[in-house]
Amino acid sequence: MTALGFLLDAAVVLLLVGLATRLLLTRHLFEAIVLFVSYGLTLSLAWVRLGAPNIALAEAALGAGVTGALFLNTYQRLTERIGDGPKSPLLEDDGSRDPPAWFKGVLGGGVLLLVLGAGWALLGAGRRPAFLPHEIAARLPETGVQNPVTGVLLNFRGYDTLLEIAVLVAAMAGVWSLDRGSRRFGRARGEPDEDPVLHALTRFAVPVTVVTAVYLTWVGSTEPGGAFQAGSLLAGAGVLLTVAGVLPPPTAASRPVRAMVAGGMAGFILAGIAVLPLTGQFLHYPEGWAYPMILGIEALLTVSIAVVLVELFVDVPAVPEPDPALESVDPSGDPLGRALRGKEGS
Amino acid sequence: MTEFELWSTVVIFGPLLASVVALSARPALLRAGLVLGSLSTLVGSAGLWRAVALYGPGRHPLGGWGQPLGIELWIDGFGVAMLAVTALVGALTSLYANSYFGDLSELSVRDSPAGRGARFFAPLWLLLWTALNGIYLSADLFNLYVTLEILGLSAAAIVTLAVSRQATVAGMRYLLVSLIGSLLYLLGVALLYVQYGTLSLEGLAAIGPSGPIPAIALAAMTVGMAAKTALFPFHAWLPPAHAGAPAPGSAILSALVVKGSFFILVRLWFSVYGGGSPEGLILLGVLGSGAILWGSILALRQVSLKRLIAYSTVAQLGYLFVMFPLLIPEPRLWNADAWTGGLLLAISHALAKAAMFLAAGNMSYAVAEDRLTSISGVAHRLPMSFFAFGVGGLSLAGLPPSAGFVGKWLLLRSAFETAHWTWIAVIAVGGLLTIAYVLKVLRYALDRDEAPEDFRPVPRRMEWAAALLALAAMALGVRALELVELLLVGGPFPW
Repeated sequence: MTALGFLLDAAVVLLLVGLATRLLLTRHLFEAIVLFVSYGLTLSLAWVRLGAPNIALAEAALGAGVTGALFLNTYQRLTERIGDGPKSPLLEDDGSRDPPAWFKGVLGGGVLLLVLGAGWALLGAGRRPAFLPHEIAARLPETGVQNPVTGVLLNFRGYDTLLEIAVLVAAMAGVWSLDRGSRRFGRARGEPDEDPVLHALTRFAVPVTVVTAVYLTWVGSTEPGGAFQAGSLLAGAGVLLTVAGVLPPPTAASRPVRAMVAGGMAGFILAGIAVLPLTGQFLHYPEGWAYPMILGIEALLTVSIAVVLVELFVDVPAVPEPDPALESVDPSGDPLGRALRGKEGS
Repeated sequence: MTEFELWSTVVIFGPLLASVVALSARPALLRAGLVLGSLSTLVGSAGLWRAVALYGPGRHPLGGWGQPLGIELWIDGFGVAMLAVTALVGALTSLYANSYFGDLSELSVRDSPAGRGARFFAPLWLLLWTALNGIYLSADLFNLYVTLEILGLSAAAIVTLAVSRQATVAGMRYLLVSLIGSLLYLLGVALLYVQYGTLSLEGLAAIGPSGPIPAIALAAMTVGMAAKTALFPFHAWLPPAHAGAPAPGSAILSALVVKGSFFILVRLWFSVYGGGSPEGLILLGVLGSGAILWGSILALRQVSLKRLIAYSTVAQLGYLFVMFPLLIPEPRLWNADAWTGGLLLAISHALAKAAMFLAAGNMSYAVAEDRLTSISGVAHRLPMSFFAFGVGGLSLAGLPPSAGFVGKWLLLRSAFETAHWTWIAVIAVGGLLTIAYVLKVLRYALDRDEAPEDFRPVPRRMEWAAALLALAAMALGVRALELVELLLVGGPFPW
């Protein structure tokens, strides 16, 4: 390692620890969100330094970008209702108080022990030679792609990726189920956009983003890239278009939106089942078919991921107002539960 | 394509495809999704049961790679038994839910918050079902993590379908506990992967994890899974979430969802770690005993019907952990009675608790309230639901000939054989407390001579679904031998 490399690594590590500490200690939500995004971007630098550009890209796009945007969105809704303060508005709003000191102590002590123990064990123990990376490299030509990450995600462990898409669909269905007549985000369709910055940004950024997303999907088979990165980029373009009023906000009520959300998962499953009579195992691609099938699945997934992310951003469910008629009168008799829940209910 | 490969595909991807169908949210397709999901899991688990009985444990190397490069499904008696009970409870609960949420698709309430949410019950539940089936067949540490995420998200969303502020808060809390549990599990996975370079359960078991890193990994994963299983003292999130959910959701959460993380704990401690450490197993048994006593006493003190049943879940889950210390006499030499007894209890609890929550749902559906005092006299109007609750409760308490009785008897016998008197005392006291809180509900329901006046008729199907589940819990006791044989295929150390 060169001296410059060492300095860079040390700077990244110090920055990460500093940002994380500050993030945990701050009592202001907005500051915490900004710190979270900075932390995500620094973390993606750390992945670059560790030689994992795929993860760096995903961390920057999803960890810092999409998650940060979702946090900001939530923050805006919260402050509209209750304002930001030195205390977390969420805690104040549901009427509970901070957990008791003994509980915090036990929890903090447990986490500290776990982290120290894991760190100590990892530093001290001799590891087995990692044979899986060699195995992956050796059999990569059989997967139909040249990027080992794509090979693992779409072929060796394609089943996991399929279920990860199911996680996204579950999150989407969960958010849709919370739709209680919430106010939507963005301009109505056809409303003139008078914001010159937004106008210019849409004109310039959207085509570039779309082209980049298509490229990332395409290049994923040989270079860092793939459906998750491309999907989150495309989602960025989608959010811009929705905010600018060019596209109507996607909703559960719209059939094309639901088809696009479920399409990636459905296509993936049907591909897996289609090969079953030919090869005998789910998702066991027949010889010569791996590359085209992977590319097709990635393209469908890119669209699904993008639509889910836009929808998560644009359609924020409202917190239901307290309705005395619906509240159960039952006070919990469980002292342990009360300690964790605070005063609520009494 | 072997029978294992065919039926495991059906049992996992049937409900997943059905969730796509149900996501269309049109009433006719919602029903089609539930039917497709129920049929595919019933047929698929029957096929796997047959295959396991004929050929012993089997596997399905997904993508054709095999472990450690790819992911394998592993099909043994324990997994198939859990699949089968999930299919039975799931199919009857789907039938119930179709009527329960059916009212909400009527035009008058269609655009109310509850009506909007109800359209997403079917897709969420089918995703949850897929996750459970995936867990019961998974032979890969990371794959288990992904299935846990689907399970946690869809389960929390089902809690919040009950449109009350309390249910929303309970659902959010459940989501947070669930995510923390998953992250602890993921930490354990990462530690094991760093140490051994494989994610395959079979591969890890062959290596035989030992030393500080695997011990920390097991501790982290155990805390995470115990939080998700609501093992005492991590149970505080369960009563508000399970009691707050809409009735079919409560049945699914209490009967099935908590068994998913329990299954992973059993797989980790026995199949992967070959029994782990005796101290750890005893600690789990002690926490289980705490759950039995604490949960039962609090169940007795509740004034709301669903809360009472939810605390009963906390207590009954304790029994499943009493199995752990009874399974440790010698390395790799195990106590078959403790194994089959504990797992039979898990299975019979699924049937009985689903019956009780659905019956309670019928009672509060009829009187539009959930307080014990408000259901007084309801037995006269809803004899079938009353019967379902009673029979389910007796099965929980372990009265013959229920499956709960066979399970407890096997567990007691194994404790006698190994002279573990403490566990015997806990099991016995817990049984008495169970009878007490079940009788408390029955007494209220029978309380008055005349039926309550404000009464909403309950759809027949909802009554039948609860009664059939209760009957299944009883009938299982009569045919427990077949289930015991199935549970022994592979045993706790399948590899």
